[in-house]
Amino acid sequence: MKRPQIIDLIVFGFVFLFLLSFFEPRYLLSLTTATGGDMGSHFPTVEYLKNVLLPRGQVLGWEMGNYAGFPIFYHYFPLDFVINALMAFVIPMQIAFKLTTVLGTFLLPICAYLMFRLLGYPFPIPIIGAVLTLPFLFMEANSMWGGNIPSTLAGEYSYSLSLSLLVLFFGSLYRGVSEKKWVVPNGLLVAMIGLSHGFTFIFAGVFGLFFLFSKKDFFSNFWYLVKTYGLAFLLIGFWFLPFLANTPYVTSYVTRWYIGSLWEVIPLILAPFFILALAAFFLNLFDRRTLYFGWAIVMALILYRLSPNIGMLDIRWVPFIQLWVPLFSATALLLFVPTIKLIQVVPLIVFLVTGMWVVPNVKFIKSWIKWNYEGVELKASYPVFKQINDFLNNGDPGRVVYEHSPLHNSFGTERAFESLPYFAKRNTLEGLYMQSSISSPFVFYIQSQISKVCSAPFPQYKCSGLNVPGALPRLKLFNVSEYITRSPEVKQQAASLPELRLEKKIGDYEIYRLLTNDGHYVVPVKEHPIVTDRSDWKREAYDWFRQSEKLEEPVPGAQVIEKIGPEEIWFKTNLIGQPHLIKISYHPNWQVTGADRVYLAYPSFMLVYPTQAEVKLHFGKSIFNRIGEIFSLLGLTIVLASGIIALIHGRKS
Amino acid sequence: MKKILAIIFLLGLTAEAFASYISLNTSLTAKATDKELRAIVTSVNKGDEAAYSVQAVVQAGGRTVSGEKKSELPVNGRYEAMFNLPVEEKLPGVYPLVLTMHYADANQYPFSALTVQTYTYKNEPPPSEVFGRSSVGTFWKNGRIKLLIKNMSDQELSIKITLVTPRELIPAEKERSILIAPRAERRLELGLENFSALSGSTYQLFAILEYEMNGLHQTTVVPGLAKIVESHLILGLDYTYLVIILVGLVIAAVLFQIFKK
Repeated sequence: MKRPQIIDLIVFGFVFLFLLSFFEPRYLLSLTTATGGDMGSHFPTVEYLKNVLLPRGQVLGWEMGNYAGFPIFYHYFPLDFVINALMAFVIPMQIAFKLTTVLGTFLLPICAYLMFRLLGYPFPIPIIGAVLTLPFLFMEANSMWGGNIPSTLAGEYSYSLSLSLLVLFFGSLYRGVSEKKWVVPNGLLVAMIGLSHGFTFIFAGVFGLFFLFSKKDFFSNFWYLVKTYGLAFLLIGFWFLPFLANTPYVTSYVTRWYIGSLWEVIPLILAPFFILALAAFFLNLFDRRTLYFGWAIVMALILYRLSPNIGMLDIRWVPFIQLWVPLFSATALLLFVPTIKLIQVVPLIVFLVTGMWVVPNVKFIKSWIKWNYEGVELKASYPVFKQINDFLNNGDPGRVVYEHSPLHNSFGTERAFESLPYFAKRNTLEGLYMQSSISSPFVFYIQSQISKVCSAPFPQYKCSGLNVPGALPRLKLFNVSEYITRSPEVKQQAASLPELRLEKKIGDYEIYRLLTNDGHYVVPVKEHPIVTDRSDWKREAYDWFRQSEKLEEPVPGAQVIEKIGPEEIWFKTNLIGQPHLIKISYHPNWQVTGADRVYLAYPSFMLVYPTQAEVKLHFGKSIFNRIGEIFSLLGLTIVLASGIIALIHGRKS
Repeated sequence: MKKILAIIFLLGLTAEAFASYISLNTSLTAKATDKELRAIVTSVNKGDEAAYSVQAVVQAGGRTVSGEKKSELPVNGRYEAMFNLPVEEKLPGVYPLVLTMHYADANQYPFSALTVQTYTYKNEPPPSEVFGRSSVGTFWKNGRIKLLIKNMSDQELSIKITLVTPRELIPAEKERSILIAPRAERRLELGLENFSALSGSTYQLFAILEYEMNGLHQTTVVPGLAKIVESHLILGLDYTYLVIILVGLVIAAVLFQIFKK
């Protein structure tokens, strides 16, 4: 091993020890369920993927547990979850989950190192680049923009993984286009980026445009990019085509982020590296790689400015600037490398200076890491949480609704009860993937009626004030059997209603039973509005849901037996030909036997007219799933074939 | 397309946390009769965040009594508790009374706050002849409380020192007895360990000095403040060592640059 490589290894060792001094292995390797922010609600998704979907040979499917059911992974990025679920076949699920959530963070220095190597920068710039990921990772200025550790801990770990892969792709694409090689590896990388986040996927495309600014190589570069991105498109087809086809059945969430000061974008911890990057820019002005970095940074700025006009969240582009600028600052040394005689000590000096700069700027990351990774089971209030879940576990199949309260955070996250399907084996209304379901606006309307404090995340859908009596018909429509209350005001309203019976007091929580609901998902109705014109049905359904007095008119004398499975609904009825409302979210992938078709009924449910006593609905595959899978198989064939060809060539040579 | 993009890429937002605090303004009044000590505790939450699981615990005469636990104390909410403790002290005089307010924040993270007062049992003695001063300063894992105790009387005194700390800090020795010559002073240090104190927090603690003189029991309460600041370490090394290493590396590089041909 050459001396620079030994130095690289030593400094890498320091970088990882530095990271591990925050991400303590005793937490990461403990058999507890990680929590905190959105993270806690991702865990049941992995569990569902591993135990239900993967054994059926699926990644995309249907999840009954939240939002009256929603298509899972049709509107969220599956790569992290697949890695996690596969790891969980080998090591305990809890540990696999924790390790997957930090994967992007730990990969970033490695990917930055490889990026500089692929860009052809000499020692010690690659290892310095790896070190300079630390100020970005430990930046505490925001916990929602993505890529830094606070964002990862808030649950955006999929973005973190994608960002690391994007950094690697930045170097790999440059080398690939320059030398006209690595179409397949680069296509694979883009596919992985696309399967782990959308913003990074777009940015991966932006990199490619840089190579079209060449008169001499325009056509060869263009063809290279077509092959690379084309292969990526084929590979992700199984996910991307259903994702596009699914967009009419999601709830849009559009908001604009307010940035109060430039310090939010360039916080103190990053500021010196911005100055250094400026110096690097002038020192290496005529280096093509400088233009390549500059292209990425300028494009991130342009996309940031354009985002509100194209319906995208602007702040998601800021991490690209916050990461690429400090990375580029590593090149400030480039001109001096040949003249420094003891160049081997430079990375060590840079590591020490960077570490000594980063540590005093870190205030809460360590306590957040402890909070997340010590797990739900070690929270002081876990006995209360466990008792609630144990109690609900014995209930009927109807859904459980809960008052929204910041005080649930004592269980690890405010979103703790979103995991009722995992901890209590009971379906609930709210969930993490609120955009993935057409039922989410109605769920949040109910939340606003039954909570002292509501979250009202969709500005386009107006919510209510606290009004438990007014919520009762809506709770019945959503097949809610039990209601968890927390605040004194809500408890008081609940206790005063004859339709609600107090079943259990656990700690500061009270659980009520809704006596007017019998817990059935399939209900024969006299009549019920269905959607005929889909142009503005969501708005109309929402108005109906908010204002209608009679939400449900059951038929007397109905006898229905039902069985609800993960992706199946079966029922037997005595009312053939009568409309049957199925209180589960509509999706075009639901296929029915025993009825002519599935109707989209208000507010967001399914309705069938049985043509026989037994009716079966199955969440199947659409034409888009099929075409997408063919694309992916084609892409995989290309990858395998190129691998075999490369192997044969390698042996011959 | 615009709509589609909006839907696609705006996933997984969480609410940002804003810093808030709990501040319990606590008063303690106590009165002792021949057989009983009555203590009244009033505490008002003057912070901007509700406190949870609020409970007062009083210690006096070797007994500990807990008040009722209040599940939630909202902003400006009031906690009240009254305690009746039987007292059977050997000597008349002044004795210590320790109140610990236990509470938790919304995440059920536990905190405690101390108040130490004295009460008079039977006869009121003359002012204490023992004076004390403390300094704790700033520490992270392990600290020390430095005590300066002065005997201003003409007698040699045997003084029992009791360290009262919030539960976040653990004293290495809870009690120690010392002898101090007449008109003399003594300095001593007692160890403290940070058990669960948070960086950036300041904790009040007390050294209670008790002695007997002329058939009377005397108590002097010495307050102290411990400021907890996390020390900066990189790979287990303090900044002092890091600076030394850094300077060493820079000097080596410079010398090499100048002298290596």
